[in-house]
Amino acid sequence: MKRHAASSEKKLWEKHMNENFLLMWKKFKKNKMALISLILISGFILTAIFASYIAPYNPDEQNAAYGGEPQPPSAKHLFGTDNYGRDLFSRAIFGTRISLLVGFGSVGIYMIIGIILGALSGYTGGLTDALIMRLSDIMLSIPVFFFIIALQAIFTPSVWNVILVIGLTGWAAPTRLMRAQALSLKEALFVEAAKSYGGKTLYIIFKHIMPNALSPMIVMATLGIASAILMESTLSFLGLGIQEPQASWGNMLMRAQEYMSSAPWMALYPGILIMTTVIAFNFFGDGLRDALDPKTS
Amino acid sequence: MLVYFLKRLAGAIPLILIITALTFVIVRLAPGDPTKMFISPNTPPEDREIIRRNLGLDKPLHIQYFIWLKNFILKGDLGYSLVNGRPVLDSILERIPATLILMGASYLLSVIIAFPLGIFSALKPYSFFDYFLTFFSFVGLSMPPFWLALMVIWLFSLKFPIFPPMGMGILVDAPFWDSVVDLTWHLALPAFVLTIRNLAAWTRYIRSSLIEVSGQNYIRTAWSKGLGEYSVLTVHALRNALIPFITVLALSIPEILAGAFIVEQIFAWPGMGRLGMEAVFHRDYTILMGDILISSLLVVFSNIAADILCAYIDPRIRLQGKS
Repeated sequence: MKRHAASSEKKLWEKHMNENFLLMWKKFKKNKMALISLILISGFILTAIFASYIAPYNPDEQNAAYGGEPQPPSAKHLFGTDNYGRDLFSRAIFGTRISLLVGFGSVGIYMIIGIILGALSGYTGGLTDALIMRLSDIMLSIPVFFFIIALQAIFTPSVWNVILVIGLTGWAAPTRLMRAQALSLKEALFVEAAKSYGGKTLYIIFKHIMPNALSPMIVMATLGIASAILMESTLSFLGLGIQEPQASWGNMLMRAQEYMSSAPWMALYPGILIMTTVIAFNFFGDGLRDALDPKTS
Repeated sequence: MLVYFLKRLAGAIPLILIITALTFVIVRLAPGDPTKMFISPNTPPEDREIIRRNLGLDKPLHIQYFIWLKNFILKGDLGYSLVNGRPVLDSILERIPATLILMGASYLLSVIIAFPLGIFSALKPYSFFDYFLTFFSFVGLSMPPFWLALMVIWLFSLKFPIFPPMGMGILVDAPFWDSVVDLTWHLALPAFVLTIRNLAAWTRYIRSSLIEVSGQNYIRTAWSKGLGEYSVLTVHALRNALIPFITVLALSIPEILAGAFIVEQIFAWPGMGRLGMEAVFHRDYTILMGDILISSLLVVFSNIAADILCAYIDPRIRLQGKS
């Protein structure tokens, strides 16, 4: 009997969630820029996954036939080639993989840290809260960019290094947001109920606080991916991120810098790709925020 | 006011300690024995040991840190460049003016342009102009500054050679105004690149801040008193919208400084950023860390300055918790 009640309640809950999702989607659809961005992002993700099938050439394959001269865009090489005769279109496709990997990877790391620390901080309060808040205060006041440069200069740069460095320095803002969420959820009736049933702190945090605080965190993560991609391209451009021969949009621009007068196309396409991806994530995050906010209609 | 000032300054001390400690640890993480840079590989091990002891490298790490901190605070001693042996602080100090000129120019330009744009967009929200500015802001914030730099070099220095693509162009023995004109000419492209991003962020900020203030009761009062549009806007709305904007100006400093690091690198502008990036390529860790330390301190102190300025302008902040 009891089990039956529980399962029908669960069905009701699922129905409720489905309706919620539909409502959200309806709101999201109205924002044309966000919709276009979603399509673009899906395209980029598919490109990243199937890079080796889409790319017409091996991105690292050099072609001595061009005699070390960058070739302009043509039907054979859509984006032209660089000074080694490498096909820039193929390199750009593989660069998508790096950008998205760094974006999702580093944001994933700092969101997980932020959600756990923030929930602990907001829900338990007291000394834990004070300690975590002080730490995040300090983290927010440190000009992180300079320290990232220093760390990258000292350690051998690689994709994983870049992900780790961005991931471990970005947790302060999500921690604060999560803490604010936890503080207000702490007073919610369902949390009171869970507590009165004897729910343990960690159980309540994982089961009740975190799932209910998720939507603003998702928005923050989306916008975070945009800035992580920008950061990766900046580091790679300075020679402190992804190293050649591995292709990334940033290091393609680094190489292009040497050929600005003779081969400006080398710089054109990677930059447009970075900009498009970053704009798409920004618009998508913006649309998501409006769609998830119950106050807007 | 003095109490607030001192409180704010005291709050910065742990932050500065942490920044210096981080700097110190990172320099130490750098691969290679620092003595290897100076002494010939033929030096016998016992002499090497004496040199290490003289440099204090035999002491435990935390003691080394305090000695380093003491030398930095009391004597401004940040060590010597591993490449040319010059004192680190001297190398940095001679580069600071160039960076300040670049940052200052971009600040000035951004404020001068952002204000009219933001105000205009707040006056006519959801107009064509407002949407256009919103889109421009999104693009401006999403564009990698280094790519914009490459594009303007291509367009304005290579395709149409109007502006010089690099350097700062200090004329020797030229009349004062000629030097100023030359400097401005060299400044144009890097300052433009730095300005775009500020412009994108600040225009949006001024717009939303003004719109928010416009909904306040005192603005309604001003309107109902029959004050003119100009008076309501400037005397009542803008002044109140300005207070949070000062914080934004200060909070932009790390970003502008970071932008300057990149832009200086591309335009060969002889500032702190260029110094830092040169140090990266030469593996000159003492210069690099000195540069980063000074940049970080610059950021921390300008944040404090902004807080104090805000408290000076807005008594609500100053008197918080005093009731």
